[in-house]
Amino acid sequence: MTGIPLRVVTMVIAVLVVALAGPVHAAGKVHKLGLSLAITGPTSDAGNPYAKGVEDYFKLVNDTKMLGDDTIDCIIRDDQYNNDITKRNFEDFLSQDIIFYLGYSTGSILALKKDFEEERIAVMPASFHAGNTQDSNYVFLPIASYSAQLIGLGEYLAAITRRENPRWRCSFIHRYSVAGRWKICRRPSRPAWLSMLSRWSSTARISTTPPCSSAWSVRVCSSS
Amino acid sequence: MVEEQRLFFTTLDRCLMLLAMVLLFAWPILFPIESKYMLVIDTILVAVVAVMGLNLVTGFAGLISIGHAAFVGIGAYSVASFARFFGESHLFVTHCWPLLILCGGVMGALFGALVGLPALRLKHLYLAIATLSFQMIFQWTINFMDLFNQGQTIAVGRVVSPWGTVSRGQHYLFWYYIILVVIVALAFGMRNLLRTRYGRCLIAVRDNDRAADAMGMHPGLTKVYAFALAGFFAGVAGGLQAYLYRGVGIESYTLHHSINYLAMAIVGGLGTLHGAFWGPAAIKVLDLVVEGFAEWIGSVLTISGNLATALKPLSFGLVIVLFLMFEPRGIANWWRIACSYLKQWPFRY
Repeated sequence: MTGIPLRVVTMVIAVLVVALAGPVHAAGKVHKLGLSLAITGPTSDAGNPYAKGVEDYFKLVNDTKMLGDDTIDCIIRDDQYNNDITKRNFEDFLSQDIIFYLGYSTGSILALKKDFEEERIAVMPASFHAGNTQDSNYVFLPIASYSAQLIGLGEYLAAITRRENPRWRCSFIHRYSVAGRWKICRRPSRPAWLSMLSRWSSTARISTTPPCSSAWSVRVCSSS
Repeated sequence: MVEEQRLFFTTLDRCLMLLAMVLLFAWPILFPIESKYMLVIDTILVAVVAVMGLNLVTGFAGLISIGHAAFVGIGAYSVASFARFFGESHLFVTHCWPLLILCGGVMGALFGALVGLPALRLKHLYLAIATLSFQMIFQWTINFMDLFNQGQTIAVGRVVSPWGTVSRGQHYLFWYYIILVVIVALAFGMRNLLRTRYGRCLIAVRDNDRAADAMGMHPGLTKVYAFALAGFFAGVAGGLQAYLYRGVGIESYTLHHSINYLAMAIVGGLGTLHGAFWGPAAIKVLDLVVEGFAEWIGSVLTISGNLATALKPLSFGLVIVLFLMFEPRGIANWWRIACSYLKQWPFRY
């Protein structure tokens, strides 16, 4: 859960874009958003400051009249990183007529995906798991997914190493596990079960298959 | 003997039960509530089904099980497997849901019997560890098998009732009635079971299995079928939960949930039928109250203290310890005292 300030900023910017891009609102309209995240519980070290950041930012938006006379009312609820509680919170938000939902964990977004489709609620999660957007018309990632970021990093490293010194060798190997709990598409061509450098090669080859979209399932391996 | 075995002792008892049934079925129509509250009530009712099973194996048969959430998970994943295999909106999943819920119960019973086999040789803490192992094996299997989406949510489609597809607005109310019917059926079944010799075997084996053996009972078989019955109840609860939440993910069937079910059984009152109703209600309401309080604390205090995170497990543990110390017979005992007082009122004895 690193880079939270960036996420908060991008998320808020996207929310503002969505809010401003819509039809012209009547003056003084209140736009209700819902945010369910882990203020307490296993990932509260990230969720708690995240919640405070969102609260502060929307206070700034309202105080400085970024939306003119319109204001944003962001309802923040604690879900303790528990999908069942997130579902309850989402029902609570719906009863309060939110127009936009800000999500947090990968699990809760996947669990509620069908509800988002039925309710046609636009969602922006804090998790950039690429699977969040699969078969979904209402989940938006404000920046590149974890997988895309990892591929980008791999490509960057490969390019740098080749440019700096052709003799340098780079290998980027991740643990071939179910840490990301996404399906394993194929076994590695050679033993690479532990996250350690196994061998060096002159070029880096990055391979990924569409269903393997989680950060952990993107396989960046060295060519022989 | 026959008199003692009656379901209702007096006509007043029968009338009160009938009145309670009417109220339970009528109140959601008379006083409609929002979905978020209905979801909480439905969740409590699902827990009631699961705790009834746990009460059978732990309360009546005296066999500690700390893998009950795994049995609930087996029921849920039975339904989810069909949804994954045929498709979440396949006719079989949306139309044959009673069959699939029953299938979840049967699968739970099968695995219950399997886990019950160590009970033939193990007792007390050792048996508890055996059930704990099953919980671990279950979690590992789900997390590593592609069939179960490696623990990520498997969606389950909306069901179709005789009156058409259950819409989003009717969803929680519909499942309230379904779960209530299931609870009534299972509760009467359990009550009747306890009147039969099979039910009395459970209690006899709990009290002294050697004496039960000497009386001609089969303690081993009794323990295995106690686990199978508990597995059936848990499997049905899992099937109901899968349809209620319209998805199944491993997060809802972890060791933490097993401990939670055990706490519900203890707080409600082990070895009593209505203890299975009080326990889930008490623990879930406590959860809600502490959740609200923890959220407030979390928003006020800095994260360094992290008191808010600790508040829920702290209160949860404290309630269990207090009940074990001061009221080991659980809330069911308070109910018994209250009933006894009302029956004899205005006389003291």
